Amino acid sequence: MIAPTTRRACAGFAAMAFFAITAGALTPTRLLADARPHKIALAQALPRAFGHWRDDPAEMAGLIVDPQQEEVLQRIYSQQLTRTYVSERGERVMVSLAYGADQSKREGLQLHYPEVCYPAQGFEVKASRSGAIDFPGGRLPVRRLETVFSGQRYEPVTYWTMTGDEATLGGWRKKVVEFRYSLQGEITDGLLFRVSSIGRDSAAEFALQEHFVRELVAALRPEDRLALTGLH
Amino acid sequence: MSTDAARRPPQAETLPWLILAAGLACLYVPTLVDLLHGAWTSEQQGQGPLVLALSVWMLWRNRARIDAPGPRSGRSGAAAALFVLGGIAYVLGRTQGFWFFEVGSVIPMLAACLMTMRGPAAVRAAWFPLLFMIFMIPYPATLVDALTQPMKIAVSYVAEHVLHVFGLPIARSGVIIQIGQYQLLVADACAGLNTLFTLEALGLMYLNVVRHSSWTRNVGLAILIVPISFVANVIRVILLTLITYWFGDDAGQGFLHGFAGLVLFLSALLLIIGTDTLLRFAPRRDGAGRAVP
Repeated sequence: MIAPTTRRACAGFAAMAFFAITAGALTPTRLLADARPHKIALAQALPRAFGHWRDDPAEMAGLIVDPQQEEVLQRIYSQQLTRTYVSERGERVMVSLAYGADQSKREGLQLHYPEVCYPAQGFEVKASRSGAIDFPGGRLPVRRLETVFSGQRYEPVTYWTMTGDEATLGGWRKKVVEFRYSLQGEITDGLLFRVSSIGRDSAAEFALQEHFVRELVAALRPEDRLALTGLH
Repeated sequence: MSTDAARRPPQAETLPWLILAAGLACLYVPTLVDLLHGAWTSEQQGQGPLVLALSVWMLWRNRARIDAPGPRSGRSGAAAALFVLGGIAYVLGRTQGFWFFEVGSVIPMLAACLMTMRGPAAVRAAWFPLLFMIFMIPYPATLVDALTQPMKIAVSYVAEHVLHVFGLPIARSGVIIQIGQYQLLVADACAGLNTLFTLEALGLMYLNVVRHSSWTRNVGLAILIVPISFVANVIRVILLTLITYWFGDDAGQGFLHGFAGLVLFLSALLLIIGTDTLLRFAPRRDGAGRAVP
């Protein structure tokens, strides 16, 4: 005769085994990054010259490289790209892209948001507002940060992030998009697109950055535009 | 039914426990492997294995009370509810990458096992090690991000003002401290989030082992650990600032950095013992009319 405790223990085992198998079956394993028909290559995606803007290869000064920070970035991102573009009128805009092919889990491997990583490097974030840039093909949600370093270097930032092929500003929207991909068995990739410039007049800098983004988006190849902005 | 368990000698009950342990292994061995390769290797979540070991040890130590023979029987209904709750949390957490749900589900799952074997009394007997497991869950990144920055600024602010009072040439902008010719960046680790959680865990553990009868003292100490860990972190930042100022950058970033970490835990320990001693006298003064056993 089987003791009642043994019977109940077997029922408990069955329940736990069921959940273990369910979780195993529903856990996405395929990387969207590998399944993309057009693989993401940041350096090739961004044209070196477009509209009023030219890439300035000499301009990497003023960038603070922290070796510890650098090591972390290498670990969490599959690709990174930093460029400075200069306009015909001499305005400078810094672009920084970070792409992580595997956003599955393990929060340490997920995108780092500027409102977190700017302060970590000593910047103060004075203001953070979410907004959008409207395009004929859709709307690009962006966040605009007013940052200042050491009370002297004012660097307004416009940024957005991509979760798979959808632009999000993180938070629950990102989780929802990740959940949708996971139902198809896919692990999303993630991209951070950051545009910044130096200047005390935040409104003017944000306008400059928006102008830059508009010209850049217009110059991107359609498949890169979808991958980098979610716009068609 | 209820007398059934009582009639059997304890040895006869090994098999059901083993069956349940096998079920838990199905769920949590993959999780444990992921943790040991991922979150727990980072400095920030390093207390995880220690907390797990302490929880298991406490469960084992109390096994006589938890698995006491007597006229208690398992409750299938309540156990099923706990299994389903834990299972949903587990599946959601594991498939969507929420450590909080995946690792947190171990608490209802263990409670379900105890409930099905021995009923609510066993769950009550094991409440502390079960809840203690909260501290082994890797903290959600959003929580860490939300707390780290304000704490860093607060630590830097207090450290700056203390050193300013002593007439040192110090200035601060955000989390950058300028002392003499040196510039220091107060790093994320200095915010003390990790220290806070580790101290809170160890503090609760201490309270549980010591088993104070006074609730004022228990709750008071548990709450006071928060400011204590803050003060300990301020002491560390001040110490590092002074080391850099007097002995140079190499000393501040070198072996003395590790030394400052040691000072952090020593000062926290002394503050906790000191506070505990003070709290011990508190109920005596006002507790005349209160039923303090």
